Amino acid sequence: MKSIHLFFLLAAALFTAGKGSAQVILPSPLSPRITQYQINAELNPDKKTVSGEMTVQWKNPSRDTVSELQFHLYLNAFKNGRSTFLSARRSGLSEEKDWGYTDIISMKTGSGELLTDQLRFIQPDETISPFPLRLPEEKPFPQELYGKDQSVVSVRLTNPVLPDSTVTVTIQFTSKLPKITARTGYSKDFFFVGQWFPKLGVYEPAGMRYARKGGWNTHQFYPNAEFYANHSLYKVDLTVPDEYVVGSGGQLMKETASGGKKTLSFRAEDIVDFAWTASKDFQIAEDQWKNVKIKIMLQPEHFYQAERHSKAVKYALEYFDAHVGPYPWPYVTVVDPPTYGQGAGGMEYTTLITAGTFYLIPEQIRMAEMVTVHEFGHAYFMGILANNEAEEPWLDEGINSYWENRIMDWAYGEKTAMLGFPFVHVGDVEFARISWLGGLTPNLVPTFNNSWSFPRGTYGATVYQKPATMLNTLERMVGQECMDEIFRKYYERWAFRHPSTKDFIRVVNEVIRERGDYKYGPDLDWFFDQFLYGTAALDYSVEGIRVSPAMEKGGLYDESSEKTFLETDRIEDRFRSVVMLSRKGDGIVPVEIRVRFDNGEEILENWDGKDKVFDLIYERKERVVAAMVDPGQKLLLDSNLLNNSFAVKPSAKPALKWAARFLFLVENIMHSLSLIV
Amino acid sequence: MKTISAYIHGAKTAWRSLRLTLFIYLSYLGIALLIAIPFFGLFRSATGNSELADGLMKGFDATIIREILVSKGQMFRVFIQGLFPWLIGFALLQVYLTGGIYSKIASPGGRSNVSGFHKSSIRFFWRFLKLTVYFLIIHILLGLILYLPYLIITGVHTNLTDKQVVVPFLILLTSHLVILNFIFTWSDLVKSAIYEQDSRKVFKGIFRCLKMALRNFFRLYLLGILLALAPAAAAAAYYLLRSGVTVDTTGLIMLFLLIQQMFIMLRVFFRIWRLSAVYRFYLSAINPIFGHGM
Repeated sequence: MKSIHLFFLLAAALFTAGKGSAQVILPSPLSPRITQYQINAELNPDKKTVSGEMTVQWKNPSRDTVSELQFHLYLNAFKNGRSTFLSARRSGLSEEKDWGYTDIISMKTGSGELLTDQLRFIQPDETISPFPLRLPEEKPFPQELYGKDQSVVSVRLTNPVLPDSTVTVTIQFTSKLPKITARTGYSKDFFFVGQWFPKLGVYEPAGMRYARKGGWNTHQFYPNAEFYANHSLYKVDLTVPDEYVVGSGGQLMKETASGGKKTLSFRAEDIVDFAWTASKDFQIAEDQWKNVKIKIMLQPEHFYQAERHSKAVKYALEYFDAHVGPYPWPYVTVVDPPTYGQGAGGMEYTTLITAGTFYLIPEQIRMAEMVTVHEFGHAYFMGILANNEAEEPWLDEGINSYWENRIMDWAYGEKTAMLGFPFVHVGDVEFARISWLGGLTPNLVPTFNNSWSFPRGTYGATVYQKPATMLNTLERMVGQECMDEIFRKYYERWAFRHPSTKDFIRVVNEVIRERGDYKYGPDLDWFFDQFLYGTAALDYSVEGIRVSPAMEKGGLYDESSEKTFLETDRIEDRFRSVVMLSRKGDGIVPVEIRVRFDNGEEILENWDGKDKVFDLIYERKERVVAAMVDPGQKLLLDSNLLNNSFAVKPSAKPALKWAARFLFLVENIMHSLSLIV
Repeated sequence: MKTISAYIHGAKTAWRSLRLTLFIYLSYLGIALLIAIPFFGLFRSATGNSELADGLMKGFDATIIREILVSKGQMFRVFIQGLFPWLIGFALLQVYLTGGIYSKIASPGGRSNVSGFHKSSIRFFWRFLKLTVYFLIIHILLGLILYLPYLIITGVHTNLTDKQVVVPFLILLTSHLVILNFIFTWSDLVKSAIYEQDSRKVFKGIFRCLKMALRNFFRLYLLGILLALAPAAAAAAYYLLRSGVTVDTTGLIMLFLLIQQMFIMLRVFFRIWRLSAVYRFYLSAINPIFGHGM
């Protein structure tokens, strides 16, 4: 889709949203709507099941003749211990009622042809060929996890789907919800219903993302993996007992009640997944930002925190609108799960997100705000720009974490966004960096990796915090304006499509070239090669400063026909200062060095950062008293900031101040002991 | 009236004991300096020639603290672990000095001399140490009684809301503070009894004084509250003062060091006030001459 066309659609959508007819939310589709779902389902709260019938239409987007459909049955990940999900997690659920599954009772085509017999579970990752990605080390899917998984099902079609043709399939299904696991299921009478219906995979025509030939892109459900789907139209009728309050990723179009039950008709346009929630306890708070209605579904004990949530959503809406692109839907719903359903917290379904908070949590601890901003951000990075979360998780989690950092620090303070107490505080950008480096092996594996390829304990730091820190570093290098331009272009070009990492980097390089700012070269491939595709560690250091009297360069010199001897004498009032720099990591980035002389003069030097050891030498009457690598603290990827500076005579004041504090602390502890003495 | 007169008497005695306050403060300061001076050296050595720590002049900075701890955290860990024996030593010094404090507050007109102070300190050291151990056990038992059922219930019942977890905890915490006020005053009452009666029967003294404390519950409890007010007010005043100022120059560092030390000295003053007030309360409870009778 051409960017100008997209913007026209978005503008029209924003203008008419809220005034829309009872039938549609947006005046025109924002995506090709390759898939369209009509689902009619009923929740049985006692049996913890959702049963119903769905009709799905799939339009073949390729030039291929397609003879099979592939569906995800995500809940089968919780069916037994042999699923890929639970095998990888090495844990299961305990009681019989805790397990979950999706049973397809029948499947037939629009023309009535029965397909049920054609269903077979497949394990696409069993035959996975190494991705044509630039992985430093191509890793196949772990072999021991193959074989018994039932989270993907294939159905062979008697009448193949021709290019640009549409197939309609009607499925009767029953989904038994698990005790909340991986953001779906039930806990007591709280239901968060995600990944609950047979969902089509994405058919990638040749040339799309990394596809060399057309085919279905599905993966078994894996613990770290999230989802990948086409932007779709959803028309969903949900029947629940009367007393349940329901929220979903769709817009409520109609509600009818009879016999102690009610049926809610939702419609959602151009979203990648449809999830919903039901609970007897929800209390609803509503707010609005421009034409976007904000609905917060809170636990009664958290209701007083409604404003905290809605403020966070409004900050995010405003910031994304100003720096990336418009939010096209006229509504967003935030769900606050109960404590006993916290497993559903912190999840994104584009227009429906889950947050998480605690009773009486001080306003200075901005966990609820951070989660809300983060999950809302996924409306852009995965919702609108629908990357494959299983194959390239950094592309939504990492980029979205970067935006979360920016929004949080902008809204709640650079050094106080996450924790804002007067004497202990931390911002979101610095929190991301600290969290990433806090891991034992921050650079063990590349960030660009499939979600199942991360060794134990590395996924979070490598997929969320490291790329956020990498992009924060990039922002400080190229400037925030340039970053905004990059993301605006990325949005314009890839909204409601499926970008890959190479598409993102291509946009970055284009913007760099268009701006003509070649400070870091004509492209930034070298940057991503090191810190996204590679595991380079960045650490520059000022090793020391050596000052000595400047000396005449003595020796024998040719003067006319004779050699003249010149003594190596000290030059009066001149000093030779050597600033000794080193590169301790394998990462290379051009870096600035600030050198300070004893007369207070400061000069800024540039170093390409390539040599392992590098000296700056000055012969002048002033002595160098201090030097600092990266004085603007642009390189947040630098793993050790302590060695970035060196002063010949370091100030004793910080030590004095903190020793005085420490003395006071020790005295107070000692005196507090007197209470029991 | 007994409560108020004991409270005022305590304040007067503490006011007359400024030299003792200074002496005790300096003893504590000596120990604290023995810990703080190496910390100063450690901090300087940890930051070396780096200018990063200069950022800490503006106040707390999570990034800078992280950098220092990651680079030199082991040094700090060893140092902090080494503090434990010092705290034990300090607790023993407190026990030791308590006997001396009583010699001062019990003497007519608040007069005593150095040798009398130390004689009393030595005389009552073991008794007060025993008492400390007994009360430590009481504190542990109280903690178990209050929190163990809570921990078991909240651990077993996973279907509780956070409000159902937080509210009982806050109730328990408040109850704990309420009970602590009684226990601290009771403990000071036992010290008064041991000193006044020169008794070696510490364990018995605890129960006798418990009876006395329960008989005079409201008056003694009120005294405990009154004695907590001044330290709380001083702490609040310090907090307000501290939170309004960025200590970023040598002059301000020195000024706040002075204020902090005055605060610590005030804590010594409050301790003498407390012991003296409870001692007076004890005397009035056993002998109406000192108050308005029981």
